[in-house]
Amino acid sequence: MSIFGQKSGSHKGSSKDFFRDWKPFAVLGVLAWSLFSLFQIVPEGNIAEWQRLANLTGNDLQVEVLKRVEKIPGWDKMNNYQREDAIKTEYDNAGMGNNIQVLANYKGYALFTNLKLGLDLRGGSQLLLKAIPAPPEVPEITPPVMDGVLTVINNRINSLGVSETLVQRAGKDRLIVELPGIKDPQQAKDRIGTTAMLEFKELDFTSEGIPYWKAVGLTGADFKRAQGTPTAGGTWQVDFEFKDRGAKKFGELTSRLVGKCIGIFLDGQPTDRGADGRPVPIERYQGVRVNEPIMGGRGQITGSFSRDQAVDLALKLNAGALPVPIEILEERTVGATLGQDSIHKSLIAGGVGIAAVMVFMVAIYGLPGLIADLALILYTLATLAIFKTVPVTLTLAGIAGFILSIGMAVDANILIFERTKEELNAGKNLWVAVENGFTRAMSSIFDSNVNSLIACSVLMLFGTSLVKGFAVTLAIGVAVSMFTAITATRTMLHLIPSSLGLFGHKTEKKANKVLTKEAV
Amino acid sequence: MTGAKSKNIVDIVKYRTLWFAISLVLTVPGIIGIAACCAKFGAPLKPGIDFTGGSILQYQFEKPTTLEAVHKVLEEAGLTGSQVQQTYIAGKEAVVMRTKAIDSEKQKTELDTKLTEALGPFKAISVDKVTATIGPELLSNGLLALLVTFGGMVAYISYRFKFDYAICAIAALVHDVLVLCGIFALLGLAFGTEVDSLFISAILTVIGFSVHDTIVVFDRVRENAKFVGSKGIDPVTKLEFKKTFGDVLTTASIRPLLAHSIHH
Repeated sequence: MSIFGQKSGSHKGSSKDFFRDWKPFAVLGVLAWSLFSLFQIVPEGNIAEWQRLANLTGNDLQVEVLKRVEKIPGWDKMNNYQREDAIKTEYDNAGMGNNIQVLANYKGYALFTNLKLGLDLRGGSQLLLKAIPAPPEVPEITPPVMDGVLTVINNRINSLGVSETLVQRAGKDRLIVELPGIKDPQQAKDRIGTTAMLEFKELDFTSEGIPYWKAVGLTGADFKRAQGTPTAGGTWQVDFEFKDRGAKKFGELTSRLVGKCIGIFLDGQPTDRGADGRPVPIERYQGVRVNEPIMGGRGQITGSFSRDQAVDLALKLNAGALPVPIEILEERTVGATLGQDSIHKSLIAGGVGIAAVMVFMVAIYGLPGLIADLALILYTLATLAIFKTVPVTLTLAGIAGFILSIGMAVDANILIFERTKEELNAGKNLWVAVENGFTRAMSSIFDSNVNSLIACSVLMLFGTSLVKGFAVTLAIGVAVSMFTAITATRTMLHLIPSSLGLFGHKTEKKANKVLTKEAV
Repeated sequence: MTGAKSKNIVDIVKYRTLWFAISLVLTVPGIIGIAACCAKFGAPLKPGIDFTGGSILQYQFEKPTTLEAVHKVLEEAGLTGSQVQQTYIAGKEAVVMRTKAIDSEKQKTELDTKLTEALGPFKAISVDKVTATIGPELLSNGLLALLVTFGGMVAYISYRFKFDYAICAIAALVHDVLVLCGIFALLGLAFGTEVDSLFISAILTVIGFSVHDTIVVFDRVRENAKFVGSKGIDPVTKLEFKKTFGDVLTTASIRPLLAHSIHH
């Protein structure tokens, strides 16, 4: 069946419609925004400077960061929260150096983008921690207990001096800890995983005369601060200073125990180290002899520590003790080498994937296929720009989601082309055919994309963080593909001169009635 | 209607016996494979450490070493039944060790010390450790995610189309998922391919594409059914075959690449 239309000055009318339309402007706007937010050009020196900062760790980074924040105007007038924010921002800047992808160099300037890469691409550790109830004091993990755990873990992680760390609640009794670019995961785990409960105990005897260490209610929580310092003998000790209340208690205790011993225990183990560097067995532990009352609230923990042990213990004491013990449920550590390898492979996978789809589209559809390819380029740029702006952390699974969404984006174009082709077969002119093709394809594009979004939102709700990355990029991709299908493909199809025609149809003098919902 | 004019379109409804046969050829071995997996691994597919708990360590030793030597150290460290494989990371040899769950940090430190003593220094390329506690939880979460997705899709298709359409869509996607699972069950039996939590997202993707294609057909049927009555279903489906074929080709060109990027 074909419809014979009447002669009409269709083309002029169409062009007017074309310029009255918002879509071409939306396309140009999105293109400009994507390019602007995705790519940056700076002198090469700047990048080197950021990367230098990114390579610093621990104390060096801290010193550098402090040096920089102190130069911020109005630093003196800031309160503690504002200062913390400023420091955090500066650390994040340092972290940017790790996420710079230089695309081109020209005359001393570098073109780069900085998509945020996940742990599996740039290397790092992800830990899933679980707080374990410690009856009788803490019979169950309540939100306040978790708040306490979160604070302490946060403090300890900050003391590692790693930039861009993340500590996040997950469920009732869990924390996700992300440590990107960490050089020594073992050290991190040691520092995070221990309770760091420092207790002072006095030696007492049971009714049968057996000696045991009795708690006196004085712990590391009463410290104001602690610091590792070297001793004359070449070993290290931890100097501490009590808060007022603790100092008073400590004074009373030492006055009462002059000539006797006080035991200092860390997580139930004596702080003294044996020859093997491990805590001495509790039955051989002598404690510390009290020679005179200590009223100033200052003291030392001596225990033949190595430098690292002393510094580590001091940092833990400053960070505070965990209210309950924690367990590492899941650990995923990726070295930088593997990360580089994965980036390389993903780039190839993404590039080959997009190229294959593009060639396929041109081979099947010819000129419209080329238009679909241009739309696909806009789609890719816009999606990546959104990834960068949000920012979405790109993981391997996330890249998989993105590559997949390319498939969905092309799908939309195929649907539109097939519908337009049918309209042309039915004898409609170019403009009308394209408009009708879009209207008709849109309902199935919309419905299928809603279903994809249903799957994505379920993944975001129930998935592990690994799978969530996939869901997020796929969802963003699906949403953007709706936009590029509606705007970019349609706009460009209208730009094709009628003399060229579409899908082999050059017929011009055909019906020019835009489809209404009722008519077919 | 327009579709009837095209000569090169395969009349798919006419050959429906053929399609059903192909479908059976694809699903039946898979179902057998799944049954065999149930007997062998106690699960429909060979579960990876994400679901059972366990550790995968990828180490690059500075000195060349043999898989047997690594295996011996693992046995000595009490990690019996471990698997050791060779792989290449960034063009250099590396060793992949799959062990049962290493729950305590102490055990891991001991293993590392033993490996260094026996085989010299190494660089940890990647460490994945999932404790036995969390494995089953990841699995039940994954299955729950699948069920909720099914429910959400049925609800949406029922709302946009009709409930019986939704049932057809679910039947189609169960078929597609079954094919995928069957293939992985066979791969698991033949090559020890394990499924991890990413596999759940792969299934969800297949579901997404399956429903996507089904909806395209439904949409067409919905649109035309009222004009052409029951006679019109045939040309409609024919046209759709062509469209879906293009779809399948594009997605098919992407999937191996996708798999490549996931299984780095």
